[in-house]
Amino acid sequence: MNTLHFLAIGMAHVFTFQNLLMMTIGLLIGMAVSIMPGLGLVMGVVLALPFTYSMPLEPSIILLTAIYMSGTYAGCFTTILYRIPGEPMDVPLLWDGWGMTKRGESAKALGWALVAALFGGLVSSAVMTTLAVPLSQVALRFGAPEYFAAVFFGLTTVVALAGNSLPNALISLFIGLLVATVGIDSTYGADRFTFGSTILMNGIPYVMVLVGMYGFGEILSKLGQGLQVSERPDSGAKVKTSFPSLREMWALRATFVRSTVLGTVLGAVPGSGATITSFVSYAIEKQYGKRGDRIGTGIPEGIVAPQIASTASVAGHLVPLLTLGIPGSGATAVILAAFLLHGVQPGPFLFEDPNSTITVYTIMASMFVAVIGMCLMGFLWIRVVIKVLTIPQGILAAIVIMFSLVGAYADRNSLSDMWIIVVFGAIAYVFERFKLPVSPMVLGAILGPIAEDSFMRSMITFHGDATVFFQHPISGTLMGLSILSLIYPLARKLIASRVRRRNGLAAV
Amino acid sequence: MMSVLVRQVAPYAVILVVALALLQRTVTIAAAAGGQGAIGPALWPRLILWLLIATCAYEGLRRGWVALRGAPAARIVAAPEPQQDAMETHESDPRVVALCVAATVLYVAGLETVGFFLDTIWFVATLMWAGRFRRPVALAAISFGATMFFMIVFMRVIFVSLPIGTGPFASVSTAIMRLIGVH
Repeated sequence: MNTLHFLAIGMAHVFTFQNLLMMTIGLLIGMAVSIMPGLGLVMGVVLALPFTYSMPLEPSIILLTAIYMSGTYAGCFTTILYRIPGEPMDVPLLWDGWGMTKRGESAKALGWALVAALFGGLVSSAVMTTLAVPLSQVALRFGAPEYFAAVFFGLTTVVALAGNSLPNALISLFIGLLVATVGIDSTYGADRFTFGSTILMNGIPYVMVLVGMYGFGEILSKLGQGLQVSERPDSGAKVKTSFPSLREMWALRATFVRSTVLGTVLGAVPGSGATITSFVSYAIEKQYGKRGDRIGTGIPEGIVAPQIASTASVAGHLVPLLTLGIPGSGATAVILAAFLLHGVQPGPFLFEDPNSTITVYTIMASMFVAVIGMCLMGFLWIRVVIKVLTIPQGILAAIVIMFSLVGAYADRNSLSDMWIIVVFGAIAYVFERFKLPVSPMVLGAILGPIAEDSFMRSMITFHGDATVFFQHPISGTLMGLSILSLIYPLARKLIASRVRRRNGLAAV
Repeated sequence: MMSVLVRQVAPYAVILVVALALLQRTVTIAAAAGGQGAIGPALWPRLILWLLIATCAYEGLRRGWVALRGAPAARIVAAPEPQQDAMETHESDPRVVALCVAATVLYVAGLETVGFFLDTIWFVATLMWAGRFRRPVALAAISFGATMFFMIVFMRVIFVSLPIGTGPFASVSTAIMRLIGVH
């Protein structure tokens, strides 16, 4: 009852002029960045951050959330129509979406993507809104060991999912955690790794690491690759959407339910972004779907499963941020930064104060409106939005780099932040050259301070007893899951190599 | 064989050496904090550094071992991610990247002296040129337009005080600011 009451108040707040305007702008930005190869939704959220400095909290978060939400959807247009996945998360859509386009069914494919995004977005927003208060009550019982275990779980998950080389992902993560230790230590006030530099005394802000590695670094790589993807190929397909019938949707009910549950649950796991949920959902559909053997040949299940999962993951990511204060992805880390810039610390205490409770529910209500808004825009305006593909990539690259640099400068009117961007952009390029994944380092820099703070508080409270993390039920379970997530890729590799060796011997 | 070995092991060796140097540095952190025993400001960084050293040593040795045995490159270098395959990534040209980084370093270093307006015009033009946009008139017009756009957005909408430069550069910046209504 309380949830519905607050949600209704939140909905009324969403329908104020400023909030609606910010949502519309956010949805358009999210669509534009997810359509253009080389840009991504995280970059869109990062580039919009400086504009929130002079705004009140609610429209700021609504703007960023709308970019995040529509960024998971609009890429389907270029993927299905032109075979250009705007983001890695759109790649699974390519296999079946392009297959349908080749058969002249592009309008139907776009219709399936729209229905999937609408269903996934609305259902996962409803589920996570319902779970927000119970989750915050659980979070209120969290002590330092539980917080550390939750963050540790997020870090191990991102490492396990980051790529083919577990050691490389671990190295990247440890470097990120080390970056977070630079500056004056918050517990003891000790000077760490500053080398006498006053710039480093305040530490390295994680937003700058994020902007440097995802914004500047990404564009450096694209410039180095010569920005090959610059022209819109002509597939002959028209930008038209045709909805599936109710009977067709009912036939895919299992896919809808499976993918929504997967997207929401995986979204709530820190570190598993929309890309991972999209790929996992596609793989699960291929394995367990009624027509799994035909996935990849151009059937609706191959569009519905990844699209639902990637849109559903947004609500899955936002609620842990709002209830626990733990950002699970690059985009939610930027949203956390926007909260902190306005002097608000997300977490269970947000639900203790009626004013901040209304703010939380306004953000949640905005997710529902954003899902409907992005689908409406996708249906009505996509022909206009898709024109961004005709902008030369060289111009876009220059504009994105300028936004990254000036946006960083605008935070504290400090040139040192620009230098941080340059350094981390160059590091991102070096990482790419040596096949070290970037995301564990970024997440390490983001979650490092929370991890260290909860670890040190646990150590001080329990007199250096490291077994404390395994003694409490919640922290013990999370630590167990963390260890499992680290062992799983190793075990999978070991089994695969044994099978390969056995097959090799059999062939001999 | 030797070059493969160096290429495979060098990145891990570099990280290992830096990590060892930083580990040595943690002694100073602990000492500065009064050396509170095992729990102190150096505990967390030390823990991370030891883990980093162990991982680098393991991976460096493993790759070195595989390279020495002359195993195929596929076993040494991790296969690309499936999404990267489909996203059509191309081999990066380090010269273009070096040019862009050098231009950015010059840009940031020159901001306080040259001022945002003049510094941004050449920088945006260089980036567009590096991005294979090579039409001179359009390049000049767009870099001027983009600079004005950034000045208006950041100075008039977000109220950020962008650097105006020194000496004659400051006069140019001030004139432009007057033009866009910033006093």
